[in-house]
Order: sequence, then structure tokens, then C-alpha cells
Amino acid sequence: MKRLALVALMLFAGCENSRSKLEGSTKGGGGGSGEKADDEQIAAALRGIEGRLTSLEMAHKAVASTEGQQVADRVQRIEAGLVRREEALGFLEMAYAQQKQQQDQQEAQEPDDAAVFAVDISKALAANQSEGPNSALVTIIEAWDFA
Amino acid sequence: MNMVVHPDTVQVAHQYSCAAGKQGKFIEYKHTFWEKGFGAYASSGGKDRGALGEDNILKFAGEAGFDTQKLKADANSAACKQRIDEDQNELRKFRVNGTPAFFINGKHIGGGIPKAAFKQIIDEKLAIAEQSGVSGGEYYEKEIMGKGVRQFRSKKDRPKQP
Repeated sequence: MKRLALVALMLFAGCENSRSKLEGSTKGGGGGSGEKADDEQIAAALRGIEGRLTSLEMAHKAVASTEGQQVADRVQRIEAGLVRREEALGFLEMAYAQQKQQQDQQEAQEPDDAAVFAVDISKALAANQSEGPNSALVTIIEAWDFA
Repeated sequence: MNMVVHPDTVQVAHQYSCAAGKQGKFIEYKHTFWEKGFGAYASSGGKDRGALGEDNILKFAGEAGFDTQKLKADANSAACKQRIDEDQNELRKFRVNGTPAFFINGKHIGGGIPKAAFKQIIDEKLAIAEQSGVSGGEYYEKEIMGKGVRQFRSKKDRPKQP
């Protein structure tokens, strides 16, 4: 118990003897030459802080300006790329439309592969213009010319 | 079927093919004409147009045992001229405008194709016909004329599959 009481006493004494540096400045500097020195130190520290802040602000502005320009350049490049792609796409669409039109025209001329065309051969058969047995399962019609 | 692409040179030859049919010798006539008519014409480099004409046809037909008098009369008859017109009108419905052209059980082949491709189509059509159960004598009339399209149909106009 004695030892605890001694530690508590020492702590109390420490609190009473030390003063905060801020305490002096807020009380209007009513102290002696020690307080004045403290104020000057604080003022110097504040000036230092302000100086560093100003430097930081300037550095930040410089960085922000450079980054902004970089972003603007990048956006410009992307936009230019998009314009080129738009042009290329437009060209491809036009080429596709032309190709499709040609294909449609060609398909309109070509016989349907899947169609079964019923060509009447009854008159040719009646005129004996045929070859092979009538019982054949496959009939080949030939359109021929003699030249 | 008769498809006269060059009427100025071979109209007569077509009429004689009709006349040959009336003697039951259509195929013999075709083969003989190719050899002694068109063959002679081609050998001359296209100069000997007489090889395609009536006199030469009657000459080689006589040598081949045709009744040339009847052949000449039939070839120049209205019936044979009409026969050729009928073929051309029928083929025109399917937009056949060049030779050779073929229809293999209704499948249109325009122009010459490799022999293997030709055989493949014949085999495919034969397999379909065999599976149909319809006899050969009735197959063309029932399956091709009965179910096929009676005029040209393009790839573009092909009915859409459901």
C-alpha cells in the first residue's frame, strides 16, 4: 500500500509542474520569457506547417493538371478510335448489303436444289424419243442440242 | 428432250431425230449424227456446215439402214416441227436455256458435272425410289409428276422449313 501511495503522489506532482505549450498561447502570453519562447516556437512550427501545406497544394495542382491532360488525351484517342471503327463498320455494312443483294439476285436465277421439277415427258415417250426400260426407277431427262 | 440452241445450224437435225423416233431408231440416229454429222463438222473446225445438213443426214441414215424416204417426209412434217416446239416449251417452263441440262428424277442439273457427282445423284434418287415402294412403271408419274413442281422455282423461292 505504501508503494502505491508513493506512485500516486509522484504522478500528481508531475501534473502540477508541467504546463501545456498551448496553455500559454491561449492565455494571452501573460507569462515570463519562457512563455514567449514557447510562442515563437509554436509560430515557427505553424509557419512550417503552412509552408508544407502550400507546397503540397501546388504539387497537387500540378499533378491534377497533368493527369487531367492525360485523361483528355486518352478520351480524344478513344473517340478517334471509335470514329474509325464507326467508319469501318459502315463500310462493312454497305459491303454486306451489296453482297446480300447479289446473292439474292443469284439465288432468284438458280433452281432450287431441293425442288423436284415435274417435267412432262409423255410426248417424248409417245414419240419414242427415249432409251431404256419403262420400268426404270430413275428417269434422266436430257435437254440436248446437236451442236 | 430437244433444246435447239443453234436453230440456224441444227434445226434440221432435231427434226430428223423426231423422224427417226417414228422408225423406232431415235437412239441410233443420235449416236450416228454425233459421229458422222457433228463429228465431221467439228473435225473441219466448224467450216463444213454441210455435215450438219439434210443431204449428209440422209446419206449416213441410209448407210445405217433407215428408211430414208419416210425419214425425210417425217422430218419435214408439221408433226415433227411441233414435237420440237413442244419440248422447248416444256423446258422453258423450267428456265432451261442451255445444253446440256438434266433432270434426274426431277432434280435439275445445269451443265456438265463430273461423272462421280452424276452417279451420286442417281444413287440417291434410286435409294429414294426404292424406299417409296412405288413400282418403276408408275414412279415418274406418281412421285415426280404427282408431287413435283410444274414450273421453275428458285433457291430464293424455296418454301421455308417449319
